[in-house]
Amino acid sequence: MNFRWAQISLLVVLVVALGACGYDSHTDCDVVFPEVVPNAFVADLQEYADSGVRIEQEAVMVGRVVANDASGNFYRSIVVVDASGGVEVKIGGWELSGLYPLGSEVAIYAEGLMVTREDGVLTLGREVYDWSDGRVEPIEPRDEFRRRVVVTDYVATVEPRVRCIEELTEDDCGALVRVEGLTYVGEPMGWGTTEYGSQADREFVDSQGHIILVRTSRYADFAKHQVPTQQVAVRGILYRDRHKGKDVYVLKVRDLGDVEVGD
Amino acid sequence: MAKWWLVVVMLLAGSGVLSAQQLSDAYYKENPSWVDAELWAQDGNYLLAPKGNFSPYEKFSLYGFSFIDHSFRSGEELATRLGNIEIVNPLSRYPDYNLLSLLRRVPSSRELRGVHGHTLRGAEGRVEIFDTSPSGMSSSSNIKTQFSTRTYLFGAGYSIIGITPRGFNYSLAVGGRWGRDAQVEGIFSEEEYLWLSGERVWRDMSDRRQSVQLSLMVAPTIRSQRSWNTVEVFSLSGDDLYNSYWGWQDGKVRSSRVRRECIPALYVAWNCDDSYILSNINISALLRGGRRSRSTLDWEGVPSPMADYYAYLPSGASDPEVGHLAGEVWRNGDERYTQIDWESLYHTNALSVEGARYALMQEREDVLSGVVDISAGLLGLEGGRVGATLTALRSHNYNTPTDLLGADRLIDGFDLYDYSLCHLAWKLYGSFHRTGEWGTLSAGVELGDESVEYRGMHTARKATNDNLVVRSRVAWSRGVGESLMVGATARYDHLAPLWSDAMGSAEGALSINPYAGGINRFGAELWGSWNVGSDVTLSGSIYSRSEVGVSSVEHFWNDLMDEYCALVVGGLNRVATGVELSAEMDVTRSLSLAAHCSAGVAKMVSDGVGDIVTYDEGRMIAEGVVLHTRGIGYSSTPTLTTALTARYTTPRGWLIGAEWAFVAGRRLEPSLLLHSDYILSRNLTPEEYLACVTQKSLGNAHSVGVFVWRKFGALSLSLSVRNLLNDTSAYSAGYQPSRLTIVESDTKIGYSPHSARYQHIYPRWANLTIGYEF
Repeated sequence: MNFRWAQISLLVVLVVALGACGYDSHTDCDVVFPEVVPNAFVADLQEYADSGVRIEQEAVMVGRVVANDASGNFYRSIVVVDASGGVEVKIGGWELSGLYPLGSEVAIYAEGLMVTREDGVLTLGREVYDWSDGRVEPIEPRDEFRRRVVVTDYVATVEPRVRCIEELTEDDCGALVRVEGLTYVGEPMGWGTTEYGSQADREFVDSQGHIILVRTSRYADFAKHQVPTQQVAVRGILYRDRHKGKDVYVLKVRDLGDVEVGD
Repeated sequence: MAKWWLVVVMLLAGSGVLSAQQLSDAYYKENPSWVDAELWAQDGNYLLAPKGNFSPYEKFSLYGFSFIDHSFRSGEELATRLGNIEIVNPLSRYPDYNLLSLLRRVPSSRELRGVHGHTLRGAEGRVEIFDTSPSGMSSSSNIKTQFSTRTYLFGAGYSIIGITPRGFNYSLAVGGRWGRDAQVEGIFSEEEYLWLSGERVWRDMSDRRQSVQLSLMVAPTIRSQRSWNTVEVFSLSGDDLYNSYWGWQDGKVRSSRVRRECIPALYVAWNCDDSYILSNINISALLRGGRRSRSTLDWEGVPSPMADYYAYLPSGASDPEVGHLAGEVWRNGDERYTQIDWESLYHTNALSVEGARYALMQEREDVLSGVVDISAGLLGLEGGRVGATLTALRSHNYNTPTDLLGADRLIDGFDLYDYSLCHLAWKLYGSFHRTGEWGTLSAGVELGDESVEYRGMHTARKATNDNLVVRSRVAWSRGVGESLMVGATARYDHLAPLWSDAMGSAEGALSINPYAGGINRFGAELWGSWNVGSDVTLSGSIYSRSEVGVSSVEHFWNDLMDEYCALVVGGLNRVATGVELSAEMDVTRSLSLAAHCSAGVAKMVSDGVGDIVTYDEGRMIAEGVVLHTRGIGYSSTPTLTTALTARYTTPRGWLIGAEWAFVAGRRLEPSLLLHSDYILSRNLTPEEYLACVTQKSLGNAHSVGVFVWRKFGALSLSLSVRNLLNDTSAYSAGYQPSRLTIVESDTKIGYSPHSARYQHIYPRWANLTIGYEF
């Protein structure tokens, strides 16, 4: 054996070996949020909701997420608020709470989308079909809503608007609202238990007898929890709907943490 | 249809273009033979080896004949041994591919035994034996470099064989393979190996030859994987080699499925020949300890990051317009949505105050095992050998996050498991041969016991499985006249059920499988081999193998309950039967041709019965469910396999080989769940029922390969090209997931099985090896 050749050969092998690795070594990505300059407010969507036409111009809004599908009470949607109000964005996806956590700042690129008003709340989506009874279809597929609803900043707390029932207006619809001094009126039952339909309304009154409903989906993870009989403060997204022939305000809570027992 | 024209062309080329002069015996003595070529090319270049080779593991090996299992299938598996130690994972009974691949690359002698008329070491019929003792080496010190387009780009190996002045034989080998696959994105290899072997041979005072061998093998391996995809995904991507397991991260390809393995092995063997009572004594031990793992991307509370998730595809959209838009993503080739978008996973984790929602998890198996074998040849008993083997293995299985993708902890809800398996087995074996006018009789038996103990997360001891193991084999062969050999083989095995997994519960142990009582396997074969003249050999065999009492555990995501469950099945009986024919001809001293054909079926012959339990708690969901398995094929092995090979040695010493193989009648391995009344008894439409029970076809396939080898003094050169015609339309394998898409309407609930998943055969690839002996 020629030791000199053997040593050279071994050296070549080692050099090549050292230089040929690294396919599975990776460094963490830097998390950089895009800088977005909004050119519209949520309230500007009202004209499109009233006219039923598609948004044909560039419309970029920035706001914070105040509701998502974490508990199952909001199905395939998130609610985003800015200084002017709130909008429910219908999204054709699931586990949206992971992508758009509460308090995260998002930019909404609304050009090409359609706006309706559903239960008093501006609702943004992909399309309104003739057969959809005026309701807007969710933004999908995946690449579409990821492109249109973009996270632009970390999570921050969004303070609710504190109102009593009498003070509520339609401008509060879609916003995060807190109403205090409410008492449940009805038989003992769960928040979302119902024999008919996919959601249940529970009637609450304040000290002056004004009524507000708290609406819960039967698929929410707290649907079977008993409604408390003590006085409570309720925080949630405000809607408006017909109840026993009258227009009433409706709150949808994100989870049971939005229901504070005692005042 | 058989491409006979190819063989004819090659014959004409061999006879017309190249001289067919007679070559002298001296030439064959001095020039390389096919055996030499295969020793050089053991890590990838050889095609179907000489007469009688049969290696069903070739289809699994990266270095065998691509995707086709055209080996003899006469119902008997090929055992693989390092000396007297079988290289097998006792928990799965699959061979240890990592160690097997290494043994084919380091200095060793490889011998194939069996086929017909032999029983070795208990009840072995067919065995591939690696002898790594330096004194037994048929190769010399050498250095090799390799260039490949498949799985890696560059390889190198360096080995030394020698003897010290004090008479110790030694061999040393070091090398590796590195690089990415040239055609499949996201595939790479980083493999190194170190091999040290020392041996001392001496004659004792009684002039008995004794030897002691000590070998150390270390082979860390990192390899990424290719995904299995539906027909829709192949069509959308326009790529038969589409791989969903990778994505871009900071401009670099990152794979989410990476296998790692480093289980060093220490082999010790003592051998003593020509004893007073025993003709030979051998004591061997193989100790191994290390880890194998597989990384997978996992998530909790967020959507799937996998681009080929069924709900992201056009077929998963209920609105046709949405389906069209989903297809547009693929047609536009936006890799943020057609591959894993790693950067978006980091973004999502950065927003999650509860912890990482996406994480790279590693499924680990920490293994510590030992095998000791003592065997001896018996004087006075022709070919007699007795022995004992003791095996102990402890496997700690758990998963753990290895990369939290920017987060500092994991969010609650990830499925974590942690359990250990302890396997103990002992075996006594013996075999002998008898030769007389009536032929040669060979028989052997193995008796043993296997026990597996499971220790899980909740209780110290969950389930055990203890079973007697019997293997027996009788083989008879006889020469008829001078040119004909006939024989018969019969086998009976009683095996412990394969260990799949144990279902545990907080309340107590649930047996791994209430239907598991052991498998009874019967096999029989009739064969014949006829030498027609001195240059032609015809051989054929008819075989049948039946297995009674097969049980299995199929894990699946239960779409009806949104929970991970297991289908525990027993009472499966199955039969495989077929015929194999081969013809081999030495046309001239330099040209040989061979043709092999095997045809057979492998089917279930009974309906099974099973229970469905939840995976975490072992809670019974459905008990005594009937599985309509009678008549379905249980293996993806082709019904028909045909291979034609030609080998030619030119006067100048070039070895040229070519092979064409064709397979037909392949079917997907079925999902047992979809054949169960748990699904079929629901209100299915006729179309839905058929979709569940129809065993999909893998289609026919063929492949052509060529091989060239030449030795220039100490320098050797080999080149092999596989799938020469570059046909990737055929599938190499596929499986039917046990998943259902459930669609509820006002009037009905619809059930449809998820699409089957496949891998296409690899396109044309080449492997070049340059070696130098010194």
